[in-house]
Amino acid sequence: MRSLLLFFVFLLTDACVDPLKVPNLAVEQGLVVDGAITDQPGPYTVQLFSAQSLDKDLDKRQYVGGAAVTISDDHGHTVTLTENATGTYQTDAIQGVVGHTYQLGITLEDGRQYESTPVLLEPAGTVDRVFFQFQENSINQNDLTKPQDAFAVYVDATGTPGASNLFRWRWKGIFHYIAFPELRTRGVGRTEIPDPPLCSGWIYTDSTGLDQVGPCECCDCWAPQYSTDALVSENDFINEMEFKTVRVAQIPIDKRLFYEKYHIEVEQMSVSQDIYAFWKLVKAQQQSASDIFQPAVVKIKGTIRCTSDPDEKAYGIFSASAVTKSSVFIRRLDIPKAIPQIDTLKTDCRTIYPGATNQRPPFW
Amino acid sequence: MKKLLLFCVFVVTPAWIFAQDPPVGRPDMPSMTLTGIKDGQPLADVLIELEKSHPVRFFFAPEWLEPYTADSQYNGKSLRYMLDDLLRASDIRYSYMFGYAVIFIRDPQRTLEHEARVQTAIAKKKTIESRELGDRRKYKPGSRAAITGNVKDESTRHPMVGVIVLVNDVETAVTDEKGNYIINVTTGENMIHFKSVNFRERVIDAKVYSPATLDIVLEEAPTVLDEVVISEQAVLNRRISQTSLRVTDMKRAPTFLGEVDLIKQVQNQPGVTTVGEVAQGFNVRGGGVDQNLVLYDGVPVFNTSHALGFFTAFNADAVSQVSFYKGGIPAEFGGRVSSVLDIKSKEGPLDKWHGGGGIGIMSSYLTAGGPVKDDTSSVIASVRTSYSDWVLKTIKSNYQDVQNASLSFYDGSLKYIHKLTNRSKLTLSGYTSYDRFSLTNDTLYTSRNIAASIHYDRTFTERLFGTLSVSFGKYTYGTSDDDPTQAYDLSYGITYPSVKLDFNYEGEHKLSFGAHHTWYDFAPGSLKPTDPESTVRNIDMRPERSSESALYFSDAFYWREKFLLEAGLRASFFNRVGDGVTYHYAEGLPRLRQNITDSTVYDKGESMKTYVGLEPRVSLRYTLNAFASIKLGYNRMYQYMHLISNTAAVTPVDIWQSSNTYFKPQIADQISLGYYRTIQENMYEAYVEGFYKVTQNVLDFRDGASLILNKNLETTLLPGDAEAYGVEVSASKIKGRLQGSLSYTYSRSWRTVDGASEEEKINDGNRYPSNYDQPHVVQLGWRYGLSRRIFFSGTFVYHTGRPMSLPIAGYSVDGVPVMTFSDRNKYRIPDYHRLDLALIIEGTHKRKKMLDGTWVISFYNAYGRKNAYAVFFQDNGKGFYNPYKLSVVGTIVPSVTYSFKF
Repeated sequence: MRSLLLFFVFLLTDACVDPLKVPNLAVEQGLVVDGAITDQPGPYTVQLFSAQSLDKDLDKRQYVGGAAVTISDDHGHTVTLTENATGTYQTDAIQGVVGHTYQLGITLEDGRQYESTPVLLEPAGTVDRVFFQFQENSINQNDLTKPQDAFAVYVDATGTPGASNLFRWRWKGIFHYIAFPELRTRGVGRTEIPDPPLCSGWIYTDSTGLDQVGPCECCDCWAPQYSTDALVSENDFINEMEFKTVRVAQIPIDKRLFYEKYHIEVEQMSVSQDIYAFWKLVKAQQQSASDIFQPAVVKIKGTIRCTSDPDEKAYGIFSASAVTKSSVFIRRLDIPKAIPQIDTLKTDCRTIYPGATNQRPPFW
Repeated sequence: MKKLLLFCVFVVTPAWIFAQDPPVGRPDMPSMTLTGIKDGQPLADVLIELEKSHPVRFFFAPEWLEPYTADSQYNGKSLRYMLDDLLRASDIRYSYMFGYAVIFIRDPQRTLEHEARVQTAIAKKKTIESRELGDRRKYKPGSRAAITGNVKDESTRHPMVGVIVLVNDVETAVTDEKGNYIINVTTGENMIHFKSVNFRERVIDAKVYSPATLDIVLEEAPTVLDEVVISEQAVLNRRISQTSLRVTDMKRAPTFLGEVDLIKQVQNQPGVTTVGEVAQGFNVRGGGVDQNLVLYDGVPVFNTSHALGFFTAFNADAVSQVSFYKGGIPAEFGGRVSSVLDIKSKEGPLDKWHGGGGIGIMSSYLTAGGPVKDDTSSVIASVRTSYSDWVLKTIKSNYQDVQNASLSFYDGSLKYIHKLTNRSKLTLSGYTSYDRFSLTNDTLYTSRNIAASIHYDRTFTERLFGTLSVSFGKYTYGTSDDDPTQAYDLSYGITYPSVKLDFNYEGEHKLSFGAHHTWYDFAPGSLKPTDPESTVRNIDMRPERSSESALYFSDAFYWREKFLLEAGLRASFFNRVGDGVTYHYAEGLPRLRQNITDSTVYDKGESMKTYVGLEPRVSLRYTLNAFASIKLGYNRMYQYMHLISNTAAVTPVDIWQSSNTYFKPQIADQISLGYYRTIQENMYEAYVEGFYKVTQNVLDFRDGASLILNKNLETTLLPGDAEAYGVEVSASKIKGRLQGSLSYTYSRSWRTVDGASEEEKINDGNRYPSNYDQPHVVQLGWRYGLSRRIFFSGTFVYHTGRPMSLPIAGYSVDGVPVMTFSDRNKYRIPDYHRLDLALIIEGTHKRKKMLDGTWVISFYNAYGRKNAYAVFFQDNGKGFYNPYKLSVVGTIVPSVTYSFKF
């Protein structure tokens, strides 16, 4: 009988969820712009690349090089960016100023011209507090193999009187973890022999065996994590300029992340109306994507348009933000229950997470 | 006197008695087709001509028929049609006897009485059997003849004692211990009834020629609660686009998890589609789910399903009659633009107490009803409830959501009728349904419907009837979360009391007219933190009030015999009443929050916005002949309530919004035209019906619209136009062991949203398929009687997959993945098809049994197709989301239900 009733697990059984194959799905090509200017010291980066088919790898961008890229403001200044790497263009001596309006101009090698809608750099307001709360069974509910508990990280923020106070928040996390590269082995015939990497401070020879010859350079690492969620302020519901208890992140309780402690830095960025609308749509898209009741029909138009050919598709944004930051440490002791010790990672710790380094951050 | 007249008849044509022996198997003479009639030809002439060319004899005094002349319009019609037509208002009747004789009778008394009895019996849904008793050649009109016979129990074959024999409604005899009876009747037409408690009454329309025997077996009656099976109104005579659903058909159809489902039967009608299993409601001719007026004893019901759409919120055992209109909608209905589903609940029996119930996998139900005071008042109550969550709890899953999920629902109804006098009746009806659903430990959805009404029916004259109804309706839902950090309580509700006054006049012109008024009170939602630790903000939306009233008049009459015209007009008045705020947006800029320039605040009771709608309704039937008709319907409908949803199906948290300054009433104009015919003595019926419908001011959502607790809904929804057209073809076999129907529908449903600015257009202002555009639909249903109590039934449905929008490219900005979507509804989910099978074993009709039980064994989705219900997106591990389809029912679903009656 039980098996007969399985169908009633209507929403979430594997049996009922299958990849959807759509024949003749045409990929929509177009130039994507990912660029920003802030009130923080530069240089600022503008990246040009192509939209990709969804079965491709997001991180492998097809950059568009050889373009002439300029940023101009409403005070008559125009700077030309230099192409550092293919498709990546950087400013040198320019810093965003609150109250100025900025606009991006692009001319591709083939002559196609693009521009962004002008963006007003508005004040950033203040971050009053970054705080966190342990939440049991709050994440990965549908996959018990992943952590279930998490720290929710919140901010309290205040806007600037007279400003539109549209904000976007993003965060960067750093955690410390350890590895045991000296335990690395390799197979020789049917046996495993020690194979410590040089940075472990140990060497292995057939004759002498394992020997420590120096300090370990790749046992302690710090790896960064970045927000991938679009998060903007909910100005619709809020009175005036107070933003209370805005949840900006959920840090899973993972044995590696909380080997020692977790540092999270929250950036509050002012955004203009258009950019706010863009992020709000991205947020709606992210929220609706996994919800079976909500269609994920969120057609997102960026702030870039092709001036030489109105039919040519263009995506992405060029934003101008003032930025204010605040950070907090979440310690292992803050977890109100026991978590397992870190697993034995038998390799150079820098190779485990992208962006990992053996340099202790100055504030650590 | 009677004898004398009859004698006179026979004297006119003295050769009557030795006329040729009628051949066996001769066709029914009155049905013979007429030919060669000239305009103005005397009726008597026509009949004499007929005698020459056909083996038929007419018996009449020539002076009786002198005033009547026939004309050529009767060519191609049946003899019966012509005679009925010509003699309709006269005192001349005719009867057909011996298989060849048509006898005209001047004294209509007996014939009229006989006809009246037949009509009464038909009205009481009794089956009338025709018999000829005695020897035709010994027929002496007006003489007395003795009928003797024996009555037996059909199943036990024992003689039955105490069976009452009525002749022409007069109790004449009772069977003795041996089951024998003797009655004396006047020869000619007689209605003979055989009645016994717990047995199905038999009604014999006997043509008695001479003394004879008549042996009868009686069959045990299934003790049903007064389940009125809708009279089998022939396809020729129904209104255009109207269907009656029969409760017995529902009970003999395959079920999902054993739940007899009224809405699923509606979904099997041509022109009706659904977006999937977990879809509340249904789509009629390209319309939205909110465009159907579902009435329960006259009170609109907003949420028609249980458990997110898996089951219907109406217990089929409490329903007596269901009428469904998808076009040519009568003027008495209004407020929704697509269809009307008019559900009437059962009345309790006035003679004795009956009950019934059922036990299924998901739920059980119990119904009981009976007289409070014999022949004066009765009561009936019905309740259905799901079991605790054991179904869900028995499932082992890695998904915590499922382990922690819980689901329960119930519905109940109560009806009391009281005959105040011979001419007036009071009816109290109440209905409620409740749902409770949670996916995790913390989050809980609940919803409730209430529909209560009091009807006072009064007969003023033989022809004028009136009903005063006062009703109260309420629909509420809530969702709450216990988790301290995000504890909240979100609630939503609509209250809608209403008063209706309806009159009907039956005459040459059938008139109906009346006035309706409904008040709406919307509580559009409040979000309350329920725990001091909760991070949820307190949001309280302003209640909204409005009222909707209507006056209607409709007249149905025959015009030149062949045309039945029903023409009506409904005038509706809508008033959005304060208190409230209307925001003003900058001219020339898109209607977005940031473009608000000002607002007007209205006080309580102040009128904020009014609309008036004139809604003409026309329904025309042209009878081609006895087998075919053509029908035409036109209706204009206004809808002042809008379902604000960004999904295709109704979800538990959808918002209803009344019209206001920005949400103009939806106005639909529909024209439908059809050809209908019956084949082989009503064995088959078939029709083709086409429709074209345009609807103004339909709402579609702006991309990324956040609808819940939004104080500026006008910023998230864009008004547009809808266009739908299609052809429905259907063929049914409605008699015999095998009954069923096959239909095919081709229809399209389009939307156009072309606002002033780029942000107020969808798909650049070009038309796009609506969410429920399903061009090809095939529906097949059958029921085969393996025996009198065992049925094998099935349904098959196929429809084109509904449209969807897909992400077609992606990129990232500042590390955040972003997807680019196709035009709205450019792609489609895979086609939907499903076969359901069922075996129904009804109880033996044994007399002494306490319970009469029925087993229904169903196989839903018999070949286990994984039909896509929804498309959603999952992280493919590389930062992008890829589309996945969710099949709500991905396998065959067997179920067993036991139901009983007592």
